[in-house]
Amino acid sequence: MNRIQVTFLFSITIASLNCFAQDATEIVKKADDLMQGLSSQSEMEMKVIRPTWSRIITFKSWGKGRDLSLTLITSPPKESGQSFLKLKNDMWSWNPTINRIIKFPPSMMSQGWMGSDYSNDDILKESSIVKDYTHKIIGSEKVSGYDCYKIELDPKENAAVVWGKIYLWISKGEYYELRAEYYDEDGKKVKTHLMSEVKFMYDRKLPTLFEIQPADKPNQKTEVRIISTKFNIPLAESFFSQQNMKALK
Amino acid sequence: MLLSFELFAQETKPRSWELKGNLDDLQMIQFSKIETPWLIDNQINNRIDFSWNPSKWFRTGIGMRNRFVFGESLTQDTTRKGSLTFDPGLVNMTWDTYSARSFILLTELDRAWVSFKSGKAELTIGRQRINWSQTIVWNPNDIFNTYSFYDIDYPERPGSDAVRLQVYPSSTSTIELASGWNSEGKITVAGLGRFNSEGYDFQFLAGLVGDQDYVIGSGWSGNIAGAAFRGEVNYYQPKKHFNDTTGLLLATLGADYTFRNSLMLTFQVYYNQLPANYTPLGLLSIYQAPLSPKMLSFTEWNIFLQGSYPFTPLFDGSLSLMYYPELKGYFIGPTLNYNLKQNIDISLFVQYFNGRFTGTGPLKDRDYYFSSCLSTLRMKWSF
Repeated sequence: MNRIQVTFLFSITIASLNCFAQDATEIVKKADDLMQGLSSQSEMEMKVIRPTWSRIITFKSWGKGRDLSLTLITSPPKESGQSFLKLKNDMWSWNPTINRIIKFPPSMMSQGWMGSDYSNDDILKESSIVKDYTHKIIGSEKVSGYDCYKIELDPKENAAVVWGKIYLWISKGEYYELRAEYYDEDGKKVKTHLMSEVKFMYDRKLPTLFEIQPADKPNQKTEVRIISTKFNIPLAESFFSQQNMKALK
Repeated sequence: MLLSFELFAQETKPRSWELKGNLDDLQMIQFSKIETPWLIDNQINNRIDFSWNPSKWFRTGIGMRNRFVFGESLTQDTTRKGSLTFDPGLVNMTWDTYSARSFILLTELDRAWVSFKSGKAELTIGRQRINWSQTIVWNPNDIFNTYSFYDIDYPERPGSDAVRLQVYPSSTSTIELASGWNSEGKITVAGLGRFNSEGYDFQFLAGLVGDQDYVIGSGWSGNIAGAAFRGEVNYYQPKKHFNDTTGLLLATLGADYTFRNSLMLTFQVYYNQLPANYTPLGLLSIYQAPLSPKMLSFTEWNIFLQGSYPFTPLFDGSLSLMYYPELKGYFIGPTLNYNLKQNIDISLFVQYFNGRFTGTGPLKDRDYYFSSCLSTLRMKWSF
């Protein structure tokens, strides 16, 4: 093999690797877009499940892109009316009982939201699985009957993320993110997300039930079910404001 | 924006009114030392909050508090009934509905307001909570409301009879003007500006408190290395002696950090310059809200440390510690809370104080040890 041939082969390999990497990012982006839309409004029900009890919390949430989100607790009565605002990297909570907005410190982000296995980061989506990670297709596997890409995500340098590694299973035709495994910086599995109950919602079909299963506590989990959702609705940026977080209903 | 509101109206159809509240019973035991006589008290509280929001530009809300208080504190302390029925607001809305020697039924409106909204401006008139706090335990910036951290049963805190204009120039900034009057008709009027910059919320305020002192102040909330970093500073100068050096400084710094295992640590240090003629009233007065935002503690220096930990999402506990250097005194306050059913909580609060009233500064005229232990068991139903 002469030198030119080697170079040629090498460039093809590089090109195909690049192409593959782009594909992986593209797949993750499509799966992410399916669940996000440009702007959305949803009503959700969260069930925190433990061996001897369970607790149901309902909430509404509004989002626009990655940077803007608002969440309002609608039940149970003790917590209803509390709201959470996220603008880029700043987060606030509004507590109507004490009539006060409290700024969230970053150390609160990894905490379970409202006592669930869902972290504040999951709810407020501080980090982006598209922008903050590199993506690589590492195989194909079946999840709940769907043929899925298995994609490995590694955090980009300097990205402010809480995970050391993520594996995603995304269905090949529909881009449903059906399974996700989250690992800490030491490579230890922290939790698994399972998505199921594909239904038609507003303008698309998507999984409507999310289960979060902590790796070290096999007998507990949290289920989040989408009750209703709308995508790509007109939501002004000014909707995501401290003034509005007090007025939400 | 308009369009999006219409969409929501179709989608969620929220009710224009809301009725919320709770009912709780507190069983209290208080003693100085465990072998000394116990004071046994009970209190049944009911809170009802009603709000009505018939249109985009108008809202109104009423908060009612009914309390049935009985027990030995009431029969032994003749001033207690007076302090329970005292309403700090301009309009008396606290009523002794029915009482005899051993009990009192109190009815109180601590919220009664109407609010008008036009775009980014809101005007609220009536009894309302104006909360300008940034820190957790002592809040010098919170000049419209004073409260006692130790008063476990009143998370809502009293309201003030006030007129308040709030303008929101951006998503994360506020300009406020508020004017309130106390039971003696003395005015507190102040302006506040709050904005967000570089991950910090900053606020600045200036005004007149109790028709007596000019105040300037500042507060912030931000973070250092993942921990929340908060602070508040107020400086008072008497209206009458404006050119003297008789001002008072109140300043506090606090930090809180939540570990991965959900343990949350809160630290706060508070400095309250006390007036030259100050004499301490004794530790028992701390359960009541301070009468002036100029004096939020009974010692100059106060150090607070709290650890709280959710053993499960239904069962959590905390331990608060305070140190008052001038008294060589301390406070220990463990609490436990258990969420018995979706809307029922059972809680235990223990509050132990010990201090030596002696030493330096404004506290030099007293010299005695004092200790007090108050234990409260609370059963609370939220609806």
